[in-house]
Amino acid sequence: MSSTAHQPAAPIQPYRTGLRPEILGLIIFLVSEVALFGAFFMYYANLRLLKAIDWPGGFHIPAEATSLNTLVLVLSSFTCEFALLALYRRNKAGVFFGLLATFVLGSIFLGLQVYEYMTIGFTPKDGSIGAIFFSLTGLHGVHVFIGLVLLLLGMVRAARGRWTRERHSGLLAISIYWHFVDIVWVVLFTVVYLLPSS
Amino acid sequence: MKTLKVFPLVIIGTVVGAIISVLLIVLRTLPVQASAEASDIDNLYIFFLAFSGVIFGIVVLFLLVAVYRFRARPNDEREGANIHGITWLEVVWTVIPFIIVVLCGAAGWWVLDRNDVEAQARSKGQVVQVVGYQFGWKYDYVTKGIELKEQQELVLPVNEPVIFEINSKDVIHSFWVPAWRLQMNATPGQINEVSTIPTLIGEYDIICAYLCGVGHTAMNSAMPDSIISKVRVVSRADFDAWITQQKTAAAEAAATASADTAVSSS
Amino acid sequence: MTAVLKPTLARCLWVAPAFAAIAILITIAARALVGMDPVLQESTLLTVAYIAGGIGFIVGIGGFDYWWTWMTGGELDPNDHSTHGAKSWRDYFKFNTDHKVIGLQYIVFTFIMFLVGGMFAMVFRAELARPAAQSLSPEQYNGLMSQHGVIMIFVFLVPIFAGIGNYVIPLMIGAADMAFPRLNALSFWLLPVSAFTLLTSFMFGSFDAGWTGYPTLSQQSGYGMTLYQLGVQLAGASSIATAVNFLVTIITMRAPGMTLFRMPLLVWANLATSALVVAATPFIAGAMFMAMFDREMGTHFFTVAGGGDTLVYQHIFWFYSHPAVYIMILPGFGIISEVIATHSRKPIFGYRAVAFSSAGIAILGFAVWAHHMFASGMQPWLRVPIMLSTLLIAIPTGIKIFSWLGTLWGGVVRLTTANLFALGFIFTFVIGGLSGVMIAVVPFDVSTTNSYFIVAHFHYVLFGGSIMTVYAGLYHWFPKVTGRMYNELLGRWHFWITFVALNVTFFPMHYLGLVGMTRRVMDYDPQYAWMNTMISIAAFVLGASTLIFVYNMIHSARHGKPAGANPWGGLSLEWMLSSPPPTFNFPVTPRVIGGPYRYGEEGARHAIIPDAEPATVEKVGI
Ligand code: HEA
Ligand code: HEA
Ligand code: CUA
Ligand SMILES: [Cu+2]
Repeated sequence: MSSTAHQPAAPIQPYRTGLRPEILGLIIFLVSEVALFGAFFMYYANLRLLKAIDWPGGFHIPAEATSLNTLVLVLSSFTCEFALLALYRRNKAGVFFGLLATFVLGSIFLGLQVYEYMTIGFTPKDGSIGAIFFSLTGLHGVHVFIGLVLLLLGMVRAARGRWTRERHSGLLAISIYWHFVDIVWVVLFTVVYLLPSS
Repeated sequence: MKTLKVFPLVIIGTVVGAIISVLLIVLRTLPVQASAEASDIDNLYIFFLAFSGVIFGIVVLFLLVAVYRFRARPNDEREGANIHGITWLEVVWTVIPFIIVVLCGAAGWWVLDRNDVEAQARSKGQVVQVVGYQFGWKYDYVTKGIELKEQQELVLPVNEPVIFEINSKDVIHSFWVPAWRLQMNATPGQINEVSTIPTLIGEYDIICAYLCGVGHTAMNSAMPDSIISKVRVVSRADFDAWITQQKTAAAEAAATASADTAVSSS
Repeated sequence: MTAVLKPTLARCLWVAPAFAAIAILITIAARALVGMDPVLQESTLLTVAYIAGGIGFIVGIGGFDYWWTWMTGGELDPNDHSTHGAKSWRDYFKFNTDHKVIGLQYIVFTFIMFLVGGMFAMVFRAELARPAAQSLSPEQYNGLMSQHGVIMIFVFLVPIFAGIGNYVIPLMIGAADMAFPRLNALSFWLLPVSAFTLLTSFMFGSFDAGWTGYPTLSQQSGYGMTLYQLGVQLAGASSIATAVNFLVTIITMRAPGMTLFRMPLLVWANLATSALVVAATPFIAGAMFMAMFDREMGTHFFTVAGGGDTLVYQHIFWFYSHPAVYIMILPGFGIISEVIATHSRKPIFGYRAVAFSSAGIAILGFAVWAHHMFASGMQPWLRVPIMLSTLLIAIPTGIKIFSWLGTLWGGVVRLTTANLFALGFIFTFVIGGLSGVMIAVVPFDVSTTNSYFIVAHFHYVLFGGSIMTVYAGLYHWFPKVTGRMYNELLGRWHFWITFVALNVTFFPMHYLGLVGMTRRVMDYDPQYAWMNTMISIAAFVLGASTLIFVYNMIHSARHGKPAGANPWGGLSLEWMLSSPPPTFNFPVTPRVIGGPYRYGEEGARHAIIPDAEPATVEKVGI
């Protein structure tokens, strides 16, 4: 076993297709994420449509207040894109601050979400509707949190100048994930907050 | 055309399979038919056995013949025929199964539909609320004029429709009377309705078919030392007698109870 | 000394407990701060400990070392392959990124789990051998029975196919490894954690609500039920990770010339299976989360008091668990195609039909979940559509069966052990499938569901189906993996004993079900005594037969006669490499020039390895 035996004769990377494995992998993973949310939406649909259960005590869901942090999250998607554009323009500072802005907006969103939890007036233990409301929004919250951690890591690497125009699939992955979290929220917001109040 | 030689095999396979089916059918593996639905469902079963046996026979016969006829001799270096497929044949073995499963579906749907229609017709029948609990059954006769609560045994008049409204106090149970070919889960928080017409006087086993905890095994009237009582299907006269008897028993119980309270209150 | 610092099992021994301890302390502190009482909530602490301990185990084994450097922005050397390939048996107990090592780790570990799960079956079959309670208490019986189902499905059958695929797929498509070697290793090391979680539940009152764990019974069970919900999720996470890996590998890493319709059918099967896993598995995660919240956080997803709906659990559970049964058979179908074609020296009959039928089954598999709920009191209008879609699945499956028969026809059938298992599979699986078609029809299902008729059905498809394919595959690739031949005589004995015992064990169960013996009971009407005794005896024989297999594998791996590169004269790529294959598989990227099943064509080749000696094709005479 010479040391050269440690080199693969064939490189461990795609032979033909232009597809970037890590990005394709992420997208496939996100499909399974959709399915996970799907399970909870299934439960929610059964509750609201088939069993027609309403919020505890005729409670009115704060669609107006929440539309604000919806706005915040949507905005953060743009700042995230900005970071990528900056990279293509070889603007290292831009990358860092783009990510920073995204991170801040994301944190604000989480903050507002926590505030809503405290003021909303019912708890996860208030019947099945309370349970599903908190687990749907909570599940999304967890994803936002993971996104924030990833953004943080992205910033660390950005600060160290590890993202280059050639090798940055990590950054690309982070942004795709962040957009996904954003889209899921928009769907969730429409289904849980807007539809019932109409 | 090598494949033409296979048709005799198909015939033989069918025959062999048919024999298997007939054997399984005449073995009489099913319990007595004690309800209106039973015979329909058993006929379904016989129909399944018929084509299943044939399919099985054909598949296995071909398997064995192929292995025998085309077996490799010791140190056999030959290669098989380079055939990648015969389209018409593939079409055949896609279409025939399709026809069979469509027949299955149709037959099943037909039986289901018949039972549902009959169930509709029975809406005026005797209503018995069945409540499963750990570990037993409670029967409430709630039809006008009867009003019997908390019965531990199920007694029914023969040849009269009965509607079960099945519910559970605690966990999922399942109300199964094999002789009626009838099973329905007792799910907490919802009422599952099934109906049938007992057509045979006698005593039949009531079995809790869904795992409901440590007492699940014992929740079965077929067990030697079971506390669960079988369902008794009796003539109309016996049924009325039973009803009155239960009513008087209930009345006496109530009387004594009130007497006790009177005593204790004074 | 350094062993406890380097990424090894030794390191796990202290990292995992450390993580658990820290997590417990943090939780206690947190609860004390918020003023929750009791501060020492046992179940909460245990749950936290298990999760943290699991993560600790992965950290200990070195699962996160690479990502740690990535996260801290350290420099990464793309061709550092220090964790790749095994030089001694010790490397099999380390975090290794070589798909061949991982494949073996998978296969050995899951097979041990099969023995354990089988042991449970042996124990409760002993209880069922005679009427009236023998040695077990009802709690113990329900616990063993549930463990049996869960172990067999979640840490044996689903992952062992991932293991076989792991070893074979990259070789078959001419890749150097899987697309994400580290993720691959990670998804393997999740399994021991899952198995540990499930098996240790015995210490806290094992989960006893069957492998389906329906509420509301699951809310009454001991703490073990939470561990079941945890363990299932860990296994699920593992199989999702693997599935993503397979999909990316198969889509992006095929060798030049390996068009979709030149892929061996096992690759096709794995493609379909992985798609199923990715789309279906999260649903069981969801169901388990909800049930777990109910138990550990007092929510009301499925409690009647809180207006919960126990039926939804069943819907979500089966929305995964029906596709799961195809996750457990499709790779097996793939294996059978390889084995039958290779050992019968004939091209697969109707290659495309077989390939597409896998896809068809995968798609249809999503539309049939409610056939497990015909007697559950679900929405009545669901019954007929579900019945029809379920019946339709018989057609693609039939296409496969008939295509295999067509492949045998006119071939040169070598009765190697691998092929024997493939042929036996057709016999037993058809029985299981046909009983499946019967119970797919609502009125008949309603008269037999939850009886031993169902138990008979699914053991015919699981043991007579999946396990037979697993054996066929293991015998087929054993020479490739070890470089030695297994003992054919022992192999034949193993097959015939297994085949006979399995039919004697499971066929009578049909009858028991029809006459009214329910599932999940530890005792029965004495009139069924003799049949149950017979079943139990056959079951013990069946168990013993696995020991022949274990002995054959272990002994032959060391003392078997050298196999050479290509003992079966297979055409697909893995047979062009030495046995066992070199650490990085292919000396140079191979070029695929034709289909994988061109048997009976003069000098036909599936692929060539440019300017490298074509492996000499020697054959064993049977
Ligand atoms: C490997 C796993 C596996 C496989 C492949 C299958 C395959 C099938 N299963 Fe099975 N099933 C299980 C594992 C599996 N099942 C398990 C574990 C359970 C129990 C879960 C529990 O409750 O614990 C279960 C339960 C189960 C039920 C619920 C029973 C109940 O609880 O009441 C039903 C009902 O429809 C069903 C149907 C089918 C059908 C129609 C197929 C079809 O895919 C079969 C298709 C195959 C064939 C039909 C044979 C070959 C075809 C031909 C030779 C062509 C000609 C045939 C015809 C024209 C009919 N299965
Ligand atoms: C892949 C899946 C799989 C496999 C292979 C098996 C294998 C077996 N099963 Fe399994 N079984 C299930 C999946 C499986 N089962 C499921 C999902 C259930 C439903 C659970 C539920 O209802 O929730 C079930 C339920 C079930 C029941 C019904 C229990 C009940 O409802 O009360 C029975 C009853 O006989 C049974 C029997 C057996 C037997 C005898 C075997 C035999 O094939 C086992 C053969 C034995 C071995 C392979 C072990 C051999 C080992 C040794 C001899 C010693 C060496 C051991 C060591 C060194 C550790 N099983
Ligand atoms: Cu009640 Cu089983
Ligand atoms: Cu199913």
